[in-house]
Amino acid sequence: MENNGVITINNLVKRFPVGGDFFTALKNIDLTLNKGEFTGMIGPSGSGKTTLLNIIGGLDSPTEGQVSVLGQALNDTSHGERARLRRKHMGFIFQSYNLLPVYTVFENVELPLILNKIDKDERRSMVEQAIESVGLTDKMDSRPNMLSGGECQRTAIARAIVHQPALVLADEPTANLDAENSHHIMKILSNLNQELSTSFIFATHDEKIMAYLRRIIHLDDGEITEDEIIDNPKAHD
Amino acid sequence: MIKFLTKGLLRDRSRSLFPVLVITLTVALVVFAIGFMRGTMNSLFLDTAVILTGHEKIVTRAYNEESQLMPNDLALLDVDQLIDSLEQDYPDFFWTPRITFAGLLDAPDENGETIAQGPVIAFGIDFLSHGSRQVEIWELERSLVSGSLPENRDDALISSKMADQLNIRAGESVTFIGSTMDNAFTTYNFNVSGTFNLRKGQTDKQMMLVDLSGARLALDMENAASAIFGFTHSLYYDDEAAVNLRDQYNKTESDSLDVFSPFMLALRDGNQMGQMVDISGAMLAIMGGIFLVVVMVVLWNMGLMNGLRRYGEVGLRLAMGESKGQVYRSMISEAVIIGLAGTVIGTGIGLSLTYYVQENGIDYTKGMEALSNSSMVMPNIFYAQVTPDLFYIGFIPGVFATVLGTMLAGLAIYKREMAQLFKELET
Ligand SMILES: Nc1ncnc2c1ncn2[C@@H]1O[C@H](COP(=O)(O)OP(=O)(O)OP(=O)(O)O)[C@@H](O)[C@H]1O
Ligand SMILES: [Mg+2]
Repeated sequence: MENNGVITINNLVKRFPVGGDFFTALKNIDLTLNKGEFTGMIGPSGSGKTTLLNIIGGLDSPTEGQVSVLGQALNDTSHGERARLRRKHMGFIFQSYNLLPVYTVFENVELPLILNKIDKDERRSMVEQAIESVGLTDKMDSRPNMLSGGECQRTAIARAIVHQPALVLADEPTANLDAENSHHIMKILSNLNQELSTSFIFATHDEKIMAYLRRIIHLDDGEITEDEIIDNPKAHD
Repeated sequence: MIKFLTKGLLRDRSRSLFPVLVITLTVALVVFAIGFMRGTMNSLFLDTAVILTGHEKIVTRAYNEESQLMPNDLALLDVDQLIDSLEQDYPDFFWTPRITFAGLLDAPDENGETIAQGPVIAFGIDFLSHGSRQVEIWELERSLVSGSLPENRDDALISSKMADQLNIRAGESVTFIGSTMDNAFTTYNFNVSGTFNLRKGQTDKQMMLVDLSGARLALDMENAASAIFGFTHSLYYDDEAAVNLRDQYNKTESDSLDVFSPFMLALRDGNQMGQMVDISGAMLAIMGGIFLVVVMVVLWNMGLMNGLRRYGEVGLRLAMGESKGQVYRSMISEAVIIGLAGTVIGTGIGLSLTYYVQENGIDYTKGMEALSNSSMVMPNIFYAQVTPDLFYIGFIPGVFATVLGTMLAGLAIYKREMAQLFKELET
């Protein structure tokens, strides 16, 4: 139905029960994201960025309004269907990497493919390719505790894109990294965006990320206050 | 995925090795502690049973009325036939005749002149007949101080305390002076084949053990016995079974109008033994119960903590598109595997330890000297007892409690909004 629409949101409201009352974290959200976008949600702490990302990822459900992701109306889908959608078509990147410490870089990246029941030989080549694209081939057999923060986040990126998802959601991916590593990460992500035509959506207040974005959605107090399209991102190479 | 999870499980010692170790130790402790308490209680009973009461004891009704007087004129007759029918009707027990008699023991010199004399309490025990377990249950091989076990009708063992007092050595002969079953005066010569020490305080102070055949001859008690003792083959006293048997036997075999008809007494019917049996049973239940509960709380907590510690991993796996059910099931399977592994190893260790102590005992001789005046015969070696329930009791804390803890931790996966788990993952 939506030919190019990766995400369509209409009249979204999200309220959290707080005590006997409700706290409105998101209201009047209307938003469309198209295939291949490299978009950031910017706003002060508490403005609702993570909440919106969680709803898009099907990890939380809207109080009111319609959310449709990759052609599926999330309101009508079961837990299982949403899980399947995430497994097949989405990747997640977190501020604190969330690598599993007992597994090697290779095995961490392999996990989404195992969940998708991809067979072993194919898995190996896909994992190797993903690891190569983040420049970690020589660390393939290391455990996360042997890696630097930047390397951990690159592993997490490889894990998020290894199954070639249509959409990658990244919540503050550079918050724990220094400037050099942040730029490195953003360059990798921006290259992947172009090569794989995967859509990326970030939640951040990091200036360094903004320089790479091609669309910036400003959130304040749960509402979209501005939606800018940037034709020539500053950091674009 | 199973392979992937197994790999993680084996590598993460805090998830595999340590819980298995904790469960192993705990289960081993539970199994051994219960086996040891059981065995200790049972060895308390067993000593009394061997010396005084049997697990069951059959006497005539009249003998029972005056049993303190050891009234052998009221003894059971036709004992061989009685035992044959007991062996047939109650095969869970083995049955053995006993003559209990008292008198004077006289130690003569080469010329037959008395050197020393003292009171004696003697037991005529069936040592010599084929298949007799009396040497075994009296633990005579271990108790022998000098000389050898009785091999002939007129051989006797006397306690080393009495031997010292009367200055008798193994190989010498002694004269028993007393009265026959028909209250006639009698003297009878026994050869002292050896001396023994039961190491149960003052119990054996004036004790002489002779073979049943010798006692019969001395007291003119052909095919008669003061009592018939019955013991379970495992030597484990099961009070409920013993009481049921006693009731059934007395209803069918005993005639309340005939003072010479046989009458069965269970171990608990002996002097104060009923109280002992009840108290020890209650103590066992309470101690075992408290112990189990404590251990269950510990393992339940461990399961819970192990589950909670993995919220991060759970959140991640959910984010990557595993369903809640899958994650939950894999957590539970893991807990079951860990619980089973720990329980099986722990039960093995616990049983081996229990079995070892059952066979070898823990010697406690010194501490018991002081406490030897009740009618209870105190043991100085504690034994454990392997009973069938020890094979499965460890599974209650080891598997049940561990898995329950994990299930509870896992339940939070269902209760909590997924976004919340996800948020916990961020911190
Ligand atoms: N489960 C919840 N229950 C109650 N209130 C919540 C819950 N989750 C979020 N909120 C509230 O909703 C608001 C938006 O939270 P959100 O995490 O989306 O902010 P954010 O923009 O991601 O902030 P930050 O930049 O600090 O990560 C906050 O005021 C927060 O306290
Ligand atoms: Mg946030």
